[in-house]
Amino acid sequence: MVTRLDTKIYDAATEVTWCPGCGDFAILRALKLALADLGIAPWQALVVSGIGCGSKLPDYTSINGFMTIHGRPLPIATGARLANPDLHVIVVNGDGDSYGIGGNHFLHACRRNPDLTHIVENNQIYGLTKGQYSPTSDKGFVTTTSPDGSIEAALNPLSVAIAAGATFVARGFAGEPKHMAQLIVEGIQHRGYALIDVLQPCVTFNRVNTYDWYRSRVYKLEENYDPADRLAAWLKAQEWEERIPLGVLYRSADSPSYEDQVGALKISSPVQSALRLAREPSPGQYEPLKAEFM
Amino acid sequence: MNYGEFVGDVQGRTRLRSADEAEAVVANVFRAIAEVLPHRNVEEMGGSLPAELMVYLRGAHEEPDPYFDEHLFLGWVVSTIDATGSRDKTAGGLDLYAHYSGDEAAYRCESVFAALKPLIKDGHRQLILSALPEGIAELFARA
Amino acid sequence: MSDAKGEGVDTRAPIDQGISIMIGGDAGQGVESSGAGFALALARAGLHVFALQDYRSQIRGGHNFYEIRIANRPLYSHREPIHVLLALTPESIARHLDVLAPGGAVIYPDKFEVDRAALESRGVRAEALPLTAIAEQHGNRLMLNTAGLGAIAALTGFPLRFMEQVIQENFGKKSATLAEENIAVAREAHAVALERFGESFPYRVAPDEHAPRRMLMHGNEALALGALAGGCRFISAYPMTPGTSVVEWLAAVPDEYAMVVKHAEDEIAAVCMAVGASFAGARAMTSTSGGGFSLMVEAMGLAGMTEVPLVIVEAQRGGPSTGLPTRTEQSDLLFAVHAAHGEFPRIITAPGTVEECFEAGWRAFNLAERYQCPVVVLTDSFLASSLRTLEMDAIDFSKVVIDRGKTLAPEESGAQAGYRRFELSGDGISPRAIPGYEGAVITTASDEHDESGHITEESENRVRMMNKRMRKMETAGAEMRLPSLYGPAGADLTIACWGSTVGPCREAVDEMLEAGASVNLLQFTDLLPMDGDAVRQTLDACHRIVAVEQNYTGQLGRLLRMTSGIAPHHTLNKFDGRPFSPHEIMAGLEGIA
Repeated sequence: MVTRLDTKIYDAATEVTWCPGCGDFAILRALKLALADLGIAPWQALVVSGIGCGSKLPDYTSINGFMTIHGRPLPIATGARLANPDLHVIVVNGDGDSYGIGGNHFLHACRRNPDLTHIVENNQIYGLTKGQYSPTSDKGFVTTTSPDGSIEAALNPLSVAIAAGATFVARGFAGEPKHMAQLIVEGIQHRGYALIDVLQPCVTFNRVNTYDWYRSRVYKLEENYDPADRLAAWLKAQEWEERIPLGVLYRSADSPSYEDQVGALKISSPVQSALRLAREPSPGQYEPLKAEFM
Repeated sequence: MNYGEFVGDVQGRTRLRSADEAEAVVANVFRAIAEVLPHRNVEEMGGSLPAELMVYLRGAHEEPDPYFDEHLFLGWVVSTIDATGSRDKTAGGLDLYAHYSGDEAAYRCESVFAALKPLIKDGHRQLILSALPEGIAELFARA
Repeated sequence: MSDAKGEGVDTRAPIDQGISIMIGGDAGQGVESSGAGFALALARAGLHVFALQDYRSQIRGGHNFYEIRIANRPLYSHREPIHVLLALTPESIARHLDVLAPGGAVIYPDKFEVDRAALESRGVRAEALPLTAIAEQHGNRLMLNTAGLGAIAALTGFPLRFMEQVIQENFGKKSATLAEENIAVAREAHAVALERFGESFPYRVAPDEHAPRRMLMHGNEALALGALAGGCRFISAYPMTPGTSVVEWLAAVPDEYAMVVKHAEDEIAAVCMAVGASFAGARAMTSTSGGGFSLMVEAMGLAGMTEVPLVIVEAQRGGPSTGLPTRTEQSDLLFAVHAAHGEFPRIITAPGTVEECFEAGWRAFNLAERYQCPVVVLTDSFLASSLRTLEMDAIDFSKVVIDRGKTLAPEESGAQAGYRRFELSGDGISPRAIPGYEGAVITTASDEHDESGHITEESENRVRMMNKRMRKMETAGAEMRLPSLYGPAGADLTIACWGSTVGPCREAVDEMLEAGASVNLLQFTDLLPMDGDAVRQTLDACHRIVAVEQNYTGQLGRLLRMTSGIAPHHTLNKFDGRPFSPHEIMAGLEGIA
């Protein structure tokens, strides 16, 4: 029986430096709503972020938070969860952090399936450094580092995730915070790597992909859409220019998470071991290991 | 009042240079209103407003998102502000234009509300006021 | 092995230098496996052993060799000359001609064309034996190395039974037939060789029946064992020679230890996983070599800035870039000292012997958690992979200390409403709560932050935080070990070394003392933070200091000058990827004189 909590317990007094109108406000709100809904206390969760505007999210909360380095929150979060599988670990970072510099870790998280919820604040631009194109910027996007329009095709992260074996692939929109909160709830409940790519307008620097631009394209997946169908999910993931589907595109309910398959964790977590060994080192337990050297 | 006149009124209040800019402001504020006003309340305003404005309002949802707050509302309007001035030489920190964009967006919202309020009945004003998120409702009230 | 006052060095009795046996051949001929098996057999026979591997970065082809030194006293390095060479290729003979001892022997398959005259002119016996035929007849062609070992046993009078036991254990697991055939090959070769040699060979290997049981271990195994004993239950790594065997050993420990091993997609992921695991409260480490460490540098800075304990084992190899993957060097010291942008506390220690690797394994975690900073344990290829016999009590688990510093237990976290992860304190170290336990909520940022972990750029806070973090270096400095002295104090010549060169240096010093020289050895293990004043005093008391280092730029010398103001008078550098031998050191010292 889950007790719903008050979202205020996640609030912090820190001054928020996001631009007025930034989609990150809605993402932060949705995250708090989701945690409250699931009855997860601030000390039970860990939010790991990278570098970027959206990666400042942990700074504005009173939840365990680790703001790390550009592109690396996924392996850091993976290590934290392997060390203590009782933590609800949520990764929050931007499209550049996730799909650019963090691309390698993203790819491997998809196939490794660690039990993490990954919220990508996808604004199709590099906001913190004031407006360069990102891996998800559409071809032709004009920015300071692509003055004649980007000549690269945009990365389709949901496609990549499905192809790489991710077991939960979803898309949200910052303009729909309630829907986003529901996706986050499902992502946290999902046993494995849950990718939630959130379309999030950068109101200051992205003049193309605005709230209006997204609103006129996004639609929620139909009632009878079956998220267990991987091929259908792949096809849905191809939809972009005219229509953009929101919701859980793919969910595999019976894949074990990475942690489920780590034998050592069934005996003791590294954190529990360290706490226990500090109290009782039990040196005798290692004597049998000498035999292999004799 | 027809649509052109409405846009002109807004242009005057916001002191924007071009009608195009004023039109973008009008469009975005109305689209934002459409995010929070329940669809069932839209048609009855048809008699008071120019058809072009009704087109925006008809985008309203059956059940607006209860968590659509002032940040999101302002976000729709901030997009209209030409804020990308500086070329970045450092990482991080506030963009000078972005710093003012919140106030500017609020000002533009208020300008549109001020142009809108006289056109509609008191009952409709109440509907909109109660649908707007906290913070934006204040702007509407004093506009 | 260290003693500050120069005691424990017996300069009266002649030193037992033992004998050296080498197996040379192509990669793929089982040089390493047979060498390691033979070394184990010798160790079980109560002999002291030092075994050195030399191999290439190839799976097949290319010459490599395995050198085993045997004596009745503890050995600290390999040594020329070679008394018995088992040549599995003709090339092996040509390559090692110059290090063969007069009176020694080369055993080789009789079908090789060999310049017997070249051997005989050096006083070396050329012993062609039908090794290939024996192998093919009793097993198969691939058992050439086993045949060779049988012949060596006969030549030196070493009872075959020790070797048979090792063969039985190694192959018996895979297949009884394989074990039987290998033993048959060994016995036949032994019999044939015995008939040829009788007892004529002057260099004999006799078991020591009264010797206590000993262990045979290399540096990486000792390090891994130390880490495990120190409470480490998380290692994430990316394979890189010669750091890989640390991970592999830990991956193979029995399940009951609950060791989590993660082979990551690259070194950046590997070190980041360790940072994450440590942040969550585990004792976590990673193991790599120079190239991998280069990738880990940014994350090391993250750990330094966010005060997350982190243990990195850096097993150095020939650089730069891909360099000499399977060869040894000590060229990453200053890199480790300065790694990552900005300034933050770190600790660097370099064990020099296999025993010191064991201690470094567990001590590193205490240092990392006490000072909440990165700890780099520097070893190298030579130390990581050479085998030495150890007394049983050299690995004493009851002496292992697990000290978590100011890490809060969950019960203590509960009292932490308003907890601030980076609370200022006199020694710079803040109480460290672990996330996931009721009470404390921990915020940490890689940006500059205030005591509560929230981001701020305020200049006064910045100064306070820098002072706090760097103060930890001072606090740590008090427990860093000063260099240890081996040999008589006040000697004319002081050899300064760090890491694995201590082995060959010690052997050289012993030999020089035996010959009447005035020399001692200063070994540095804890390298950062270093007490400049104390080190200056130590160096001031020396007369002539020669640093012996396996690098080009004399990095220890530079570090000493940076820290104490005093540089060695000379440096012996070796950077050809092969470890110093005692003779090379002595010859080098003569060259300087």
